[in-house]
Amino acid sequence: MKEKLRAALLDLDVDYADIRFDQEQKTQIGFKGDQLEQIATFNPQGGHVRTYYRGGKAIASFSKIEDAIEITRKTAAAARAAAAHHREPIRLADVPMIQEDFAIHATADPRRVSLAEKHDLLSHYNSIAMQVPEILMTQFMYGDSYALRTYVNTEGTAVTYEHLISHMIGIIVGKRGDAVQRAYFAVGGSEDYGRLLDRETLMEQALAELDELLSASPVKAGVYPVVLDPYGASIFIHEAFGHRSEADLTQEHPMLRERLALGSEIASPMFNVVDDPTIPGRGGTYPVDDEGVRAKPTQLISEGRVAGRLHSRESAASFGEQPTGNCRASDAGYGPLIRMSNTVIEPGKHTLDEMISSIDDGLYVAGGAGGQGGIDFTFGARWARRIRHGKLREMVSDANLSGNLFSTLKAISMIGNDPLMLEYCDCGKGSFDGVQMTSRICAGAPHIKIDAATVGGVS
Amino acid sequence: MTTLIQQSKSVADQAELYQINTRAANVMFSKGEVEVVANRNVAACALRVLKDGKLGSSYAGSADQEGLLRDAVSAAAFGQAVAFRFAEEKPVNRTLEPDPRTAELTVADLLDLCQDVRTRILRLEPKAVVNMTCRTHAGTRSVETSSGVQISERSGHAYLGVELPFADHGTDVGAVAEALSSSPLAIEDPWIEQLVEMHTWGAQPSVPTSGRLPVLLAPGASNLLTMALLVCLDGRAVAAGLSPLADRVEQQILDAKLTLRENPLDEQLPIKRSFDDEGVACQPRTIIDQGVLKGFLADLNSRSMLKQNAAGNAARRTMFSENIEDAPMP
Repeated sequence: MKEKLRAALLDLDVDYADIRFDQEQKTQIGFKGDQLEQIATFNPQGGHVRTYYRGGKAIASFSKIEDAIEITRKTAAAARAAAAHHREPIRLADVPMIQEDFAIHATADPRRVSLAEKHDLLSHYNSIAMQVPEILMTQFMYGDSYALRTYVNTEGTAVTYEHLISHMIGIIVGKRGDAVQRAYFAVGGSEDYGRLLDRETLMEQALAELDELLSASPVKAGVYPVVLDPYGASIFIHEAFGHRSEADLTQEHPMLRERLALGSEIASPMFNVVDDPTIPGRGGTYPVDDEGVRAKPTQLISEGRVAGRLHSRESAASFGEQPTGNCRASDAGYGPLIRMSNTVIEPGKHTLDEMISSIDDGLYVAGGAGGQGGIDFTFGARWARRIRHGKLREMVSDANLSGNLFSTLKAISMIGNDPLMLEYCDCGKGSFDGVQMTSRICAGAPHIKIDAATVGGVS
Repeated sequence: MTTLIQQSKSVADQAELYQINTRAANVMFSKGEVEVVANRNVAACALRVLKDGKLGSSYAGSADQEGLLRDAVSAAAFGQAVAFRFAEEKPVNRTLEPDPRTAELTVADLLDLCQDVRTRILRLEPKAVVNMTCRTHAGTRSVETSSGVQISERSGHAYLGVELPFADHGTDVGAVAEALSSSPLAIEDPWIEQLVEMHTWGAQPSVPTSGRLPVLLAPGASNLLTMALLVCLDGRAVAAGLSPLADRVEQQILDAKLTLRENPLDEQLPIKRSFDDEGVACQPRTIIDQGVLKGFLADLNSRSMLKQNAAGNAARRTMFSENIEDAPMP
């Protein structure tokens, strides 16, 4: 494959070009209630080419390797045509050439598990939920995805690398009287199929939370001191802060560039955040990104100050910073764009008990029911629990947390010593050629305490 | 009949092969400069088989890719039990072929169009920041079933979207205009003049008083209301009893002034189709007639559950792309 891709890049009249070809295998199984909605296997393949000529940039996706040479030639011509409409040359930051093949080693490879076994496992978890009398609806999905990617560029880099991930997610909706609530189940998020097995305890925990939630009173809206669980803290750091660390989203935003200038103090000195694609066995783990840059950890916040941001080669050159190896495509149909990998709030020194006991009147919030991220964010809670006089009390429903990124970061006063990495995550980001959804990301955090958080509710 | 459909007869009760081959070119101007030129070339196919009343699916880049039939049959062993059969051969009202000039548009043509539109905007509004997206799409879609359907259709359209951000409002708020045509776009002066006029409104913003006000919805905003209605008209939601309209057929559900029609055969529409993604013939239909509900949007599966006539609403595309990995849905 490398030779075919190299042949496509030969004798192009451009400043730079690269080409990637993906060969994928995927499985999807879905239940809605007791009905199997989908069971399918996929074997897509396709490639993506990028060409740069002075200020012109052209990209193309294609399905058949036989078309690679023709498509690449046309794309080079398009870059030259575009150059006439762009004044400044596009620069790419220098990176070392890599010639290496990276293989994945799975303890329990989902590709070696039969379709029947995957179906039966998903059906098993679904049936546990379906047995609860007050369940209104369930939706359970299994997915696995393997990709062999080959990447070649005109600077001599030529690599192959693999991605493998499997996961199961479930949404369980219950109804009691007029109350309708939902619980979530998500496992996997790595190359290890074994993570999907024997997770009945987690399912029972989700059902127990749902049972309590169906009888819970709605939270009273207000400003509270809040302890955010690792799930909620992970989503907060990914959505509210992580996307602001992606250089392409701040590049054209003067206010953000100023607020997030390297060295700016944005949180308390105990707060540290890293984006690390080298953490073994996580959704956002990879050896090399989709423009041939070796993956490495990037410290985003160090002792409360902005320490770095995530880059492609293009954005790194624009900012005058080093490439970070975060330019990735969700699949063969798309070009790479800047994405987080495994984004983590590093653990602090406090125990959960210390956090709870420090609050006289507040909330423990279990995050993860969706939301919108940005400088101003809103996240739904799966559930929340009142804290009174330093003790966890009754569960409350319908809580959502909203706030401003910068004031919330400043209000974080305690960081737990109990870090947790999420299992299944997904993330969508708009790109020039469409919205790219990917589950090859991950986030993690310990419990965190926010001194004053705005909690919305229905009462 | 393709080899794959012939082969399927020995291992499955029925088979359906859906294939697309599309080519799209896309040019994006940001602040007056070309940001990127993108081409998208997609060839893909989806195979569905029915075996012992169960449905299985597989997907690949082309119909000759190894394992496509085997994978679909394997999936059907555990598949969804369904009561429908794949489409049978029936007369189809063919729409006219797309304008061949649209498929021949080059990146250079799109760049020239953008540059021309930008120049004319700046002539009227010299300080405007002009962001543009211009694209052309051409493709072939085909459906073949073991019940005799063997049909294909070409499509093609050109699109131009222009945004003039309001000064001091960031880049996300501005005057927007779009043009879509099955022929190469010809942008007339009134289109540009109206866009520039909208942009001038941004220089004199006013904050409306909160409260209940009579509102005049522009066609684009009215469409948002229609989208909400369509969720309730989705045959799957109706069959599952999740739609509030499930038992309201022939009842007055909206004001008598409101009628909702669909006509995928309308030659005036830039995006039209003579058959849906399951090979069922499309036809003009009134869904809500003077406020009275007449029927639902249905694919073969929901149609079988609703005991409704063929509707020709099955689509594999999502709002994001021609992603055929999603099963057909209304």
